[in-house]
Amino acid sequence: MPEEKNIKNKEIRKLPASTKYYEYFAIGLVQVITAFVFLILFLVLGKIFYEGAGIIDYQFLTEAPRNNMTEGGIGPAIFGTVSVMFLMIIFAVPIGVFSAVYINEYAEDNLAQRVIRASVNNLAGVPSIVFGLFGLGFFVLFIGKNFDEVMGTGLLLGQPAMLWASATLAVLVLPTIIISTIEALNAVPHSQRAAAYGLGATKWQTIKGVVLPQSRSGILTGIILAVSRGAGETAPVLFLGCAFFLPQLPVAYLDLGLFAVPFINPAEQFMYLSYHIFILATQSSNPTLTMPVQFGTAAVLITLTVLLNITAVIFRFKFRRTLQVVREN
Amino acid sequence: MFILKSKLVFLSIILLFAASCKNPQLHDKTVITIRGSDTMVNLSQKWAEVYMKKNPKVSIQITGGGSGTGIAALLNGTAMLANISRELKDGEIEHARELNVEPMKFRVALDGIALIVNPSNPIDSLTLIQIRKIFSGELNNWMELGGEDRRIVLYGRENSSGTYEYFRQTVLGTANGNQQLDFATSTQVLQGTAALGEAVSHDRSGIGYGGVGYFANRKDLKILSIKKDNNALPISPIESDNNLNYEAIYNGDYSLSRFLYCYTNGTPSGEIKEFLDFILSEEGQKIVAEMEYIPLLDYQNQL
Amino acid sequence: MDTQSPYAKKISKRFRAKEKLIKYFFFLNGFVTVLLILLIFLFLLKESFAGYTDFNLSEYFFTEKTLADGSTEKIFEWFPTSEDQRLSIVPLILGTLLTAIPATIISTMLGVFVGIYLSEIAGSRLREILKPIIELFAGIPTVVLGFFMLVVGATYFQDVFFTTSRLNAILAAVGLSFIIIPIIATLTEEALRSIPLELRMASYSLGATKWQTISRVIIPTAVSGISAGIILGFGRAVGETMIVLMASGNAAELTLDVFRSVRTMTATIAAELGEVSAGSQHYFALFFIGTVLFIGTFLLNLIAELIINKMRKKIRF
Repeated sequence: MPEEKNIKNKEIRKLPASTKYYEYFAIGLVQVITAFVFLILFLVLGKIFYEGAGIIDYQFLTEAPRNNMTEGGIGPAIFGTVSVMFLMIIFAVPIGVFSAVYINEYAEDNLAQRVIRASVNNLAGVPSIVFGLFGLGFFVLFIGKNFDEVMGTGLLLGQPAMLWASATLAVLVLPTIIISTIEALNAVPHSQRAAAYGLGATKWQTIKGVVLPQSRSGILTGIILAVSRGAGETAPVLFLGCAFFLPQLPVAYLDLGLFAVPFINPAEQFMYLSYHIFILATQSSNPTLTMPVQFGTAAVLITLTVLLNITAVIFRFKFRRTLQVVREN
Repeated sequence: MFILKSKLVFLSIILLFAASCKNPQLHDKTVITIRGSDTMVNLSQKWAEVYMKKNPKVSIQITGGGSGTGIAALLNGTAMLANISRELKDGEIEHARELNVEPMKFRVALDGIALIVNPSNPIDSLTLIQIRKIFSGELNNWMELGGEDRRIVLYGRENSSGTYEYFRQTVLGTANGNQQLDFATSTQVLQGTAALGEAVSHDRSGIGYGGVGYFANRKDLKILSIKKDNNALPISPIESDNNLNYEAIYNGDYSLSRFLYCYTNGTPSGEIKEFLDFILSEEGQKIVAEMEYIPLLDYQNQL
Repeated sequence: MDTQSPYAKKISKRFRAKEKLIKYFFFLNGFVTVLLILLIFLFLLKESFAGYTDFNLSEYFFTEKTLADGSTEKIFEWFPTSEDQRLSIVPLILGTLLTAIPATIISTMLGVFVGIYLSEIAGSRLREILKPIIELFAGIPTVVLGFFMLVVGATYFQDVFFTTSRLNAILAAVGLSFIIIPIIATLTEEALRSIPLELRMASYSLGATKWQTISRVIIPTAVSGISAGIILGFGRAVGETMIVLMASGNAAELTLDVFRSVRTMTATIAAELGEVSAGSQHYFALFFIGTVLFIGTFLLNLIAELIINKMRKKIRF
């Protein structure tokens, strides 16, 4: 909205005193309440960082927990979170981006398009715990169990594992990716497409050569937001393979004869930052001794999600700037 | 460019799948998966830590979630060892046999269940009947027990917890007409013994229960003595110097004690057997004592 | 959305076939979302009504107990692992409402004011700083807030309100407000800013002061947008898990007192799903709770969307 904030009624001084004070009181009240909300929010964050900052150092970030979680660090939890996010992106990004391309570029305003849009919106509103129910019931007990039975792999995928946690989170963040990608595709000026068509490009050539490259940082924004969302979720992964304590990183080695290539083993259990906070607060042997670790872990998780969000904001800002330049030229 | 990238991504997915099918285990390491009781999760972790230091070829994974989770995992085959803080019910063993699982039990430690209140609470001991009345909601003011005029606030565990089940069967038991009593619906349910201790330590009218090992060294909690009946002597699971009252817990003078079990599917062999042997060895039982549970070794010697 | 290249007809058949193929490929991907939402819903539905044959659906709401004098009494209790299992989800629904409604009330009182401030009072530079900050707050992992309420909030709260239950519905509601205030604030701000400048101008030129303009012109016009935000916030509060799991005390009691412990639907699934053996009545009951949650939040989102669409049409006129 244009500069409506500069509009002031110059006549306010001429108003009767009661109206004038009422005016000041009302505006003041809004300001005070806003300040109060921000103050409380910052106090909460401040408390967490104040209590947790002392413990965070290189060792804390890399080491495994020792001595009943009272010592050591959260290295495996960070590794597990990063691995799950990596797998989640692999699952969610192709489907999400391609869906968005269909909705924005191909679909005419018909029933199919409206149904897809409605589904995306609905998927975004489903409570995260329901994804957990679905992940356990469908992915683990239905797909995984049957896969093991058919392939004769014993008990490989029919149990809670990183693979299913990432697949479930991928379903959860799909709407985030689709909505951001649509926004990014939509922002590419019409004239650009027209120019490509004018040069004789087909629809697909236009999308591949003009639309997608231009919306790249917009799409990236969506992916970063999705990761930030996924890393912060706890409820859906509670029963999908989060472990209290794993001595080993969920890594396996692929034997290639000459040398072995390490890779993340998606059939393993994993430690997860957000779950780690949950169990530290409720199940560690001595909550008083683990208190610094609890606050430290919380501070790390907040920092992680906030940094991701800030990166997304910067990317979005850049994306808009680039498009503005394109438009002006 | 964009397409090339997504092709690479697809390739790597296929590779990951192929690799995970081909090589499901860690590189030349034996994995032991343990699931079950939250009461035992810290103990198991300590056992695992020490055992893995001695046997670097073994990797032990531990997950809590409650005894019920452990049983489910043993039946589904997702765990090789189930930590269970109570004996399996007959129905559960039958159900297991239907699924071709033969649960074998191993006593690995002894545990006393302590009743805890806030240190400011003047009450020091309760009879079993009083405890039953408190937790089934029949008594709801501390004044009726000789305390201050406050509503009794009950703290309990999740219904998947072995401690919950044990406490329900032993203390609440069956009342008139073979009706199993349930906890009062107002019982607050906490996700772990640690959270429970934390809550009671801050709540002047609270009472809760849990493994005595969790609470023995905490000054901000009071552990109650228990009387078998009105005329019996009150017996505390700890001694005055905050050490565990081993004797009373062994010989059953303290009413709320139980064995902790590890269940395996069939007779254990290989690495699992070695790990169980380690648990029952002197070294393993020393860890039990360190973790404030009651080691079996002395107990067996005493017999 | 736009026309084909005018040269499309001159392109060779092979090329056209390829274009078509690509289109179908994208269509397939787009359809995955529809498939997923259907799959989730049907799967929840199938599992929640699978149950045993001798299980009466009404037992999800109450069980009947015969009293000594022969009359029957309806019992609303959640005892899934007891020998005589009682699976009434009524106390859980009540628990969800007892946390979500106070949370929505608190968040509305605060969030709407923040929205008004951001849209109408803050300077454009301040707004550009504050808006991303409030959006960042919406991104704080909920487990951190649950942890904070459990470890820090509970003690402060008991000192201030002298509540008998240390963990209670209102404590969880305060925790929930942290994520709902940003939702309501952002949506209020968007609703207010979508109001055309002319309306404000007209009001000012009639001699109205700033607050008179805000309270009598802008808010009434945007009221449907604001209420959509409140409904979405309420939906989020109903679906949130970790905060209520850690801060509400989880006592499945039939109560209307917000200062007592309550057990919500989401927390019940979170606490018990890991433990049930698949195929038991308890397992199906948890899926039934999931179905209720799914349908409930679906309806709330639908209502909010309808309101927003209606408001867009009205503003455009």
